[in-house]
Amino acid sequence: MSSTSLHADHVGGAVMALSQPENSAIPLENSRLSNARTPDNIGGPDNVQVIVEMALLRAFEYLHSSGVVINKAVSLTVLRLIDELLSADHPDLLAVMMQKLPERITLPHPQLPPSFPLIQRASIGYDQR
Amino acid sequence: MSEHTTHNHSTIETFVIDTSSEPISASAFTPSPKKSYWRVHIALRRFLLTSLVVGQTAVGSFYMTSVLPYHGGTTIEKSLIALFAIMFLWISVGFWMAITGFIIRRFGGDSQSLMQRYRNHPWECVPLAKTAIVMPIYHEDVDRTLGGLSAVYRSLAQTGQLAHFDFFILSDSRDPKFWLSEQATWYRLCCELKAFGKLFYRRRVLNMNYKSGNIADFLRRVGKGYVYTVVLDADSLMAGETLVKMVRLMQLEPKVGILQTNPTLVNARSLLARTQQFANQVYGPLFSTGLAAFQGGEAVYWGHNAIIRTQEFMRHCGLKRLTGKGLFKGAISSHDFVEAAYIARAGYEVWLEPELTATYEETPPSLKDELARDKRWAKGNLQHIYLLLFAKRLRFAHRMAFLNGVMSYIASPLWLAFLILTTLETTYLVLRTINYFPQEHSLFPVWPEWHPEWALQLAIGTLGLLFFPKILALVDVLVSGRRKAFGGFFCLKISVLLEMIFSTLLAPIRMLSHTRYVIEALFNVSLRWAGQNRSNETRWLAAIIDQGPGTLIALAWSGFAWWLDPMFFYWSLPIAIPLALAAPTTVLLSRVNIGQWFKKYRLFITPEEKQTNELLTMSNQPVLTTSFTSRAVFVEAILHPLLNQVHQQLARSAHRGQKQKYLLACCQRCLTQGIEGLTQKQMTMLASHKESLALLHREAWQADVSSYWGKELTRRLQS
Repeated sequence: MSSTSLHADHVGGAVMALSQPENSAIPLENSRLSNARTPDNIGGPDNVQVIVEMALLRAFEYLHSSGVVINKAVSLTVLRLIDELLSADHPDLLAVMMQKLPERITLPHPQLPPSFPLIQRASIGYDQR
Repeated sequence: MSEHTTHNHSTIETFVIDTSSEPISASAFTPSPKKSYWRVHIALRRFLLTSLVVGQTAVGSFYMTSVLPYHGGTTIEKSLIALFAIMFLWISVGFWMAITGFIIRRFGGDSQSLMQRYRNHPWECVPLAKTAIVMPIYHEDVDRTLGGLSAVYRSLAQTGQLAHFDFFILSDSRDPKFWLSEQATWYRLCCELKAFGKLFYRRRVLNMNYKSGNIADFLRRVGKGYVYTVVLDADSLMAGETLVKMVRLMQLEPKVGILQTNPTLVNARSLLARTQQFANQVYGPLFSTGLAAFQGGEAVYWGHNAIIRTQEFMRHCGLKRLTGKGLFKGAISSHDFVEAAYIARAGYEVWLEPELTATYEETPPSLKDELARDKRWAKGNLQHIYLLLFAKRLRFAHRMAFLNGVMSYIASPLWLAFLILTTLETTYLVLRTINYFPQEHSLFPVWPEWHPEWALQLAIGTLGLLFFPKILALVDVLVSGRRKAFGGFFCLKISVLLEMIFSTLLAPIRMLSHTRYVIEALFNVSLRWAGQNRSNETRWLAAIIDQGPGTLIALAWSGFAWWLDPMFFYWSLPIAIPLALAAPTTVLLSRVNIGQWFKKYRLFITPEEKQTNELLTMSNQPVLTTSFTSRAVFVEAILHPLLNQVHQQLARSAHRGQKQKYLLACCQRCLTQGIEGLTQKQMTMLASHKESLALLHREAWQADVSSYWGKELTRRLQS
């Protein structure tokens, strides 16, 4: 489990990473998404851009929280998925992307600790002599 | 522990314990306990104690009789003498306990104790046995409790004996804010400590019978798999070495059913808590050594920081509901004393072992919290009257232990009654004509005499009994070369003096509150059983509301005393002044900054504050990663992919019919209106239902950006 959330600049960084040999240590100022819009100011001609930004952010955050290492291959897969959905002019891009994401990227199945050992039933005595 | 298969929710509890590394059980080890004649020694000690206490009380009561104007000739005076005798006897027992403790400590320990019996024993040769360490919790500070448990785990790992121990968090929490945090922290600790299959978590759906019910539930499910069980409180800490030693002592002494340690108070921050912590560490060793010396193998169990012999405990310590009326009907609130009495009835010994060190607990930070705890304990202890009178075949020592617990609270109304009768006596003497023939059918007149100097002598003598043990404890610290650990000679002396002043200020406040609790308990007013507040300071308004009635009573009483007789007014001051100052006393004692100010000037310093203690340092590391609010905790449970799976694993499933429809409606509401649209009950239902958790997780991540969860995700991404 990681408590670190992905920031908008991670997405910008991941996009940039596609054209770089290494995908780490992307400086904040290089991120074109570092000032991502909030849902409250969505509207008008920027709507598609916002949705794509959100889709990228959401996908990377989900993958990161699930324990997937965000490398070049993963980033490309996400971008391709968004590309496909955009090309298909899908009306509900975010929802469909989140549905299809596990099909494209194998999410790790974390080993969860057993919450309780094997039950060995016994009773409590009341010393009724 | 090796293989753990992930099952669906309904078989969560069917993980298999790997038995390949199963430690040596008690049966594989043939103990050869050392022969001890402790029963003879203890009987002699008890006889001596009884003689001293009864003798001292007789002298005190005789003196009291001579002090009273009619020398016990009136009903009021007879009642006064009776009350005085009971209270004096009570004080006298404490006094002689402390004296005994001092003597034993000066002579290097109690020859009859378990630790002394095996002083030169090669401990390493004693094999360990499978032991469960259980921590029942209920709405407790997650950082504090699970951080503490994590420290115990690490400490035990350092001993290299971890394989013999399993840890259990037994939650009774109802508020999802608490239990979702507990579950998330449990998972995180499992990962951090690599404790898969070693650290377990269970939350009861139905929390019947308080803490004892929680432990009984654990025992019914898996108790069979453990030779010993160590019970911790939510604020307990025990070093690995101590735990290992306790198991070995139990292995060596198969007749011991319960082994109780004497926990040291730590982590105090407020002034009251630091005062209590200091008193516990300076005076505690004398009293606990004295107590153990008279209890022997018939000690009591305090419900935590103790090890129990699991199978024997299960066989004999079931707590039947009381069948009397009112207070004496229903579940037993204070289970520990009763369990000790029951296991002893079955032929096992119960030992208090003050020489087992590195065992800790915390104290309430404010008087308000302390009194809230006392309210529960008062009811629990008074319930024991029923068992004291009607339980069959209990050992006399345990009946006395019940009486001791009852007296802890009954002493307050007795003291109040004493004060009321004293006021009545004075009123009669001042306002009524002198009665020269107080006794009927007597030919001889009685001239009432009042000798204030005798009364003063008696009061000083009684105070001596109360305060002399504290002086003796101070001497014990000095002669044992521990003064530096308590801040040095000067600071230690000033601290003891201040502690005496504070305890004098607090005694009448506690007396009034305890009296109220006793009355409430006897009239069977329902009590709320909640976790301790270990952090908050008392506010002025709350203190004034809480202490206002006591202050008014004290002012009225003092005013009446002044009107009656100025001399009586002066006598009333030691009680009236603390009550008049109760609100400021409560507020100031709860303040952390004042507590820390005293610490800065090396007052109320304790050894753990002076020297680094690894266990305490480890326990103070935070384990919570999200802010502790219902909203933050619930959102994390829904959104975080891993935590959502953890919560699903711990949740239940397969509701049908109306309940399933209702859950779906709740999910819909949660998705459209968010957390704010749910009641706590609905939140609990959703968070404890596997399918709902999965659905909410899926739908939240697919939510439109302008929806509640879309916005929540955006906030999360931008944070």
